[in-house]
Amino acid sequence: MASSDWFDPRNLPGMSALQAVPALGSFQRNIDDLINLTLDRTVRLAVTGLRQSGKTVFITTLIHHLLNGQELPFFTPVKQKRLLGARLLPPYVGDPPPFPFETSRASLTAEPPAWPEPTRGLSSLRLELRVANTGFLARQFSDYRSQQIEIIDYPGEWLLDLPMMDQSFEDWSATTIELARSAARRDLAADWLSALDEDAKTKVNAPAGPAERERAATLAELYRRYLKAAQAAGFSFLQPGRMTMPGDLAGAEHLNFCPLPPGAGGPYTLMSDRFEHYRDRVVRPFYADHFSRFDRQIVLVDLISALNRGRAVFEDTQHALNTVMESFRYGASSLIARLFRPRIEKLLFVATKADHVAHNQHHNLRLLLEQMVVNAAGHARFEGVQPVFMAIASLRSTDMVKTDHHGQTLSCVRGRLKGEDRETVLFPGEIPPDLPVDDDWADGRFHFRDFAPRRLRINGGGQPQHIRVDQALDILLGDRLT
Amino acid sequence: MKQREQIRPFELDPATLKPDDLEILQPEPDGSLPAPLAPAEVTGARKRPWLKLFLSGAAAFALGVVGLDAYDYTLGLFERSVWLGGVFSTLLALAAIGAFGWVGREVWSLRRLAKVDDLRTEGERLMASEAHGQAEDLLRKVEKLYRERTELDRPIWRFHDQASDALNDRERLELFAHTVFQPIDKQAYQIVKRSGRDIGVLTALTPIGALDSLIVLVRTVAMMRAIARLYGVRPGLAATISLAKRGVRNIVIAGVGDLVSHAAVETAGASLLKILSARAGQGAINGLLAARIGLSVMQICRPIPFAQDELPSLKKLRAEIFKELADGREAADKIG
Repeated sequence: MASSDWFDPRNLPGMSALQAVPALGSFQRNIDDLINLTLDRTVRLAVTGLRQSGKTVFITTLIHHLLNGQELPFFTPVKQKRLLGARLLPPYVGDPPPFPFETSRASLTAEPPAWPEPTRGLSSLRLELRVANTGFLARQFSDYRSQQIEIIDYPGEWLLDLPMMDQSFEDWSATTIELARSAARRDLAADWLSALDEDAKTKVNAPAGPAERERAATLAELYRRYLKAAQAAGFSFLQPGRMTMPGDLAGAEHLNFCPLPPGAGGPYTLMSDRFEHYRDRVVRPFYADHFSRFDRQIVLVDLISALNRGRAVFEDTQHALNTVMESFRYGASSLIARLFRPRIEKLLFVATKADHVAHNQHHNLRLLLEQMVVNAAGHARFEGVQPVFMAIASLRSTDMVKTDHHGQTLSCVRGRLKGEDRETVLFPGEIPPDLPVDDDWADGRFHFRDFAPRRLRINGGGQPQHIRVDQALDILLGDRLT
Repeated sequence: MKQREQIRPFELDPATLKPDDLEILQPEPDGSLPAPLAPAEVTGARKRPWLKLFLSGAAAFALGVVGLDAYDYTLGLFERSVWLGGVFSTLLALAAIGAFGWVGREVWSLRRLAKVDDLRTEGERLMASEAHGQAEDLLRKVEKLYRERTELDRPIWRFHDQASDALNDRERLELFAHTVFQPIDKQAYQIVKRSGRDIGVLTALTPIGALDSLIVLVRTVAMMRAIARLYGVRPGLAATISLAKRGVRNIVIAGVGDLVSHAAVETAGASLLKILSARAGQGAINGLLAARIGLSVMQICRPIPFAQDELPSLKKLRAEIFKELADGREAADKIG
């Protein structure tokens, strides 16, 4: 605890030699785990969210503010005036690829600023925070205490694969094909579905060999196109997650599979094998190697876009979120219990882009998010994980202004629209505090616009350039720094 | 949910609009919130109208008699000599002015206490709500209350620097509390701790039992007044009495239970055993009670309610007081 600085086993002579051997990476990682566990040191903060939910901007501004030590008035060490500073640490051997903090920050601080490139896989970054010691005893050892934080960014899509672990290829194919045939997705999947029908007609199993592999690749390609189209249309519940977010598996041949109806012709056995390979060698290891080591988890959700895209997408997002929440229901899922003993102690769900609506809508935004996963959250609570909900904006890009509209005062937002080069004022509409009903979808009520970023101040200070990022940070890490 | 008609999102007409002319919005209060609760009387104190009539009548009568007597007496002095009458009537006038001034100050300090009460009640309501836009008003009043405290100018400035308009009322109050009140809370806590310890030590050391109560009374009142002054309630006699009444009442309602049970648990631990010679034990309990009163006086005098995790804990306070008492006793044993 307080005395963790005077002895660091990593500095022992043998240890540095160990670090130099790449083959020992995973062994090294386990030792690191052990050291950190005993010294109570590194906190692994996992950040996830579906595509376009603002993970990169969140992590970038969070680290930026931490490095500056400013604009975080609700973060406990700042509140107590004990935060001495923060610095980035070089990655350890065996760490995932580094999070592109510098380039992301550069694009936000450039003139004109632009939203950074989204990240496409697992990446991480290590930080060290130093906090002044206050206790009399602790001060005898050291004036400050340091806390290492590893921020891990991974696509939320990967969590959607969790149900696959309990399914056979047959079950999975049945549910997935049914979903593809649903009214909202039928058109997007048309090409792939007709290819399936064609195979069903011929009823011939392609002979093993190049022909079979070729057919598999074609079908998988059609399926991938469907997933990409669905993703572009705003759908989130797309399995397998690595097809839309391949990460380090981009272009791997064993990813070339897709659901097939039972007894179908075509490369059924091959697909089934690849499915099992995916399930056992990709999904499972993700949970066992990464997910099981997270201490704190924040899930970002872009509710505003989901509302914009209409009912089908909104309900799909809700389904995806509930599936994501399943991953945090350890006790109920014997599956997870079989894999590892999880240790996520804090779970935070945030609705991002809160600056796109007026301040008085933040409360509703939070309530709506809570409402979307109310059942799954209840189950998680039952298992002892307390999900917290919040509405935040990582980089505030609008002001709130009031206008007079036919005798009513309206709360409007002022900012630069994405892709347009002028400042404008709009009444963004209101967020329903509860799940939208039929009427809400019918009358074009949701039409939220995307804004271009405001330039991130390089030297912080003054009014925070975010909304509630400090409070989110405090929930996630505050207790480790008191 | 809301009665007014839904307005669809729209962009304001760019031709007629100058974005820079618009006023940054301080959102209007949401009318749907419940009206503030009246500050509840904690005990169902019986109303005693007859007693009140009797007391006020008797007091007015006594005052009248004294006043009339003084008037007659001075008039008599004037008959004896103009000089004598002049001097004495001047003295009487001075006394009257003094009395008025004193009563005025008393009333003023009582009203200030009442104002702090009102602010806190409003603050409690806002802290429980998710409203937007009502905290500014409240905070302006609080700032006015502390207008003359120059040492708070900086923290208040810092608050305004950091408070973004996106904060809701609860967050705004919390931010104000921890930027502006944190140093005051710390000082008040020190006062409470010191008073608790002093009372503990002094009552343990006094040889005469009767002296105990006097010490407890004097030190406790001094502590209450110091805390009140710290929070900007300059207490007169009446305000002090009111504070004392409410402080004690708070304990009776909520405090004694936790005080006794915690103390009982602590009894099993070494810390109390170490100081539990009969008199020292008595002292420790006295000190603890005083500290408990101190904590509730802090709550009464703070215009913005303590958030859940800000509230100084009795448990920690007790541990600190007991530790100091135990240390003091060990030192005394060595000397003795």
